Amino acid sequence: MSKVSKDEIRQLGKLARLSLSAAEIGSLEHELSSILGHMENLAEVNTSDVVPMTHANMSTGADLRPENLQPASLRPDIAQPSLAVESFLTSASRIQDNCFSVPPVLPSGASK
Amino acid sequence: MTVITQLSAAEQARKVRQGEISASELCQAYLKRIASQDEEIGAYLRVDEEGALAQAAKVDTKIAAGHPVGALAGVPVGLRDLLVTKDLETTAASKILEGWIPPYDAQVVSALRCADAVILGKLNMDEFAMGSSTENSAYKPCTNPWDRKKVPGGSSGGSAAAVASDLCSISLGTDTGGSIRQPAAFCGVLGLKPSYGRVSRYGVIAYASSLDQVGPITRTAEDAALVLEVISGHDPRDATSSQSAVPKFRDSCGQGVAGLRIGIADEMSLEAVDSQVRERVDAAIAELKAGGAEVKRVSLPHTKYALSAYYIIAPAEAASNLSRYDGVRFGMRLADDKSLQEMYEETRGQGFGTEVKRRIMLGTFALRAGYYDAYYKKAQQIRTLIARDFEQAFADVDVIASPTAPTTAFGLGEKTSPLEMYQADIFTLSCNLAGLPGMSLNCGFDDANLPVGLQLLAPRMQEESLLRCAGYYQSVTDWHAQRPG
Repeated sequence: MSKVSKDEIRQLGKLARLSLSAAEIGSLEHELSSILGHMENLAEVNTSDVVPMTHANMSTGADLRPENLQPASLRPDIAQPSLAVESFLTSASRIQDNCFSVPPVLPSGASK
Repeated sequence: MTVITQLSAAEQARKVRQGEISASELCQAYLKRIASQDEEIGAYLRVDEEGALAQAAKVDTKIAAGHPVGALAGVPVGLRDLLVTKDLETTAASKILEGWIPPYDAQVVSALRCADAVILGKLNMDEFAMGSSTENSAYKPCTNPWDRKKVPGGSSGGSAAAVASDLCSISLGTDTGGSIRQPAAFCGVLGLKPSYGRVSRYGVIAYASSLDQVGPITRTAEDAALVLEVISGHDPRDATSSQSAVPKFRDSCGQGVAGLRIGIADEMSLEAVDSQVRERVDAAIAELKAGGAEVKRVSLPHTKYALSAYYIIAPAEAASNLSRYDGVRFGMRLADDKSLQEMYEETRGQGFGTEVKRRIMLGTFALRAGYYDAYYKKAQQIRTLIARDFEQAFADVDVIASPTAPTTAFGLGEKTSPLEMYQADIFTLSCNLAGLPGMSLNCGFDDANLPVGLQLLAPRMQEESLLRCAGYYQSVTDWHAQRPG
């Protein structure tokens, strides 16, 4: 039995901002169902008292003390010079007035 | 006569420093090999001939002027295309980034430049590091130098194939679930995945940020140690980069293995392992034992869940990381005359390849409201149990040995289902989940003359134990010196 339906694949495609062809929807339904079927083995393991490991630097001890959740170090929050804005703008396919340009977010006349 | 492209990187740097060969001469020798060999292998996505020769000339000028030069003086290096390079196109082997010229260097690239290495170009890989065979490159296939009908492994397939066929002296790869070690095994070279946090991820195009690490692919243990010394260390631009001191890794290579405790896990001795792979790996462990290592059995009971946990966690992180490729800031843009949503969907739908889309969809599924606890949180809890298994095992041993992959290199186009492909990584995934250092080194060949990889894992920040094993093993065997015909 499929773990994911074609409708769910379409909905996931919307969430993930991916246009998918009918053929892709068909194969993703089959492939995701098969992969998720394999993952059912995780249900065999009792994890009720186990702290989720969110990061490879995290201790595996069963507590959530702040030091276990902190990354290795955070740099001081001080403003520093960065690369020139222009150096990034040259990578964009469309720019306007020193900004990235995108298609209209609101339909024209929406502000009336 | 000495062939300079067959010298180790350490020897090349020494000869360059002492004026026995010039950096330019060395660079030209590799460029010549690339020109004559790479069309068939497909290791490089682009070669920066001009940049490489200019860098080599700079090294020669420094030496001629009597100025000090770095540890990798004149050594020709290949970089996986996941590493951002200033003024040199970087695509992660994806169409969505085609034509992107980054305005900055990754930290590891800056470190190599500071050490006076010469960057030859960018190496082929699976798109955005997602794959085990380099068949997911959006640009061209890469083949295994030992048998052109076989895959080089993945996702750092180009990095391993280039070192194996002397198209660079050393290369950098990245490893999220085995992407340095598995191609190193398939191509008969040495691949070292450092501990999580050992090497900065600044400027490494992110796949799964809690798992990604950069590491060297080389022929010898000494070269791996040398490169690791150059690229390791704290970087304030990567908040997960470790403050741990960087040892002189090269010292470990000559220390021998007397007294070292090597663990063998029953959970990594599965029936799925090819019998010839098993034989070569057992012989390599026997060699280490003959050198004075003690061999013990250990247990890693949650290993069989690593595949499921990994293929929830990595795609979930990827779905989030790859949301930045939306046609706005870099790379291609399609459907520019339509709505913002349509522009996003068209650009991403056309710009990403099949496997990348599959993993984004899988990750989006796992992170979806209502499914998060059953998939993502559950996978992270299993991750804790896998890391604890290793902590317990490493109370008794210094290193855990296993095959790197269950088989030698498989055929191009042979694996057709995603799940079958994912199973090529069963022995490498848990190392990343636990943040450990891991290595693959060539320990012989099967009857078809395809290389077999021995995987060694150590506790966090204990890369020295891996280098002790590799240094010793290479001093008593010569598999690493063999080259494809």
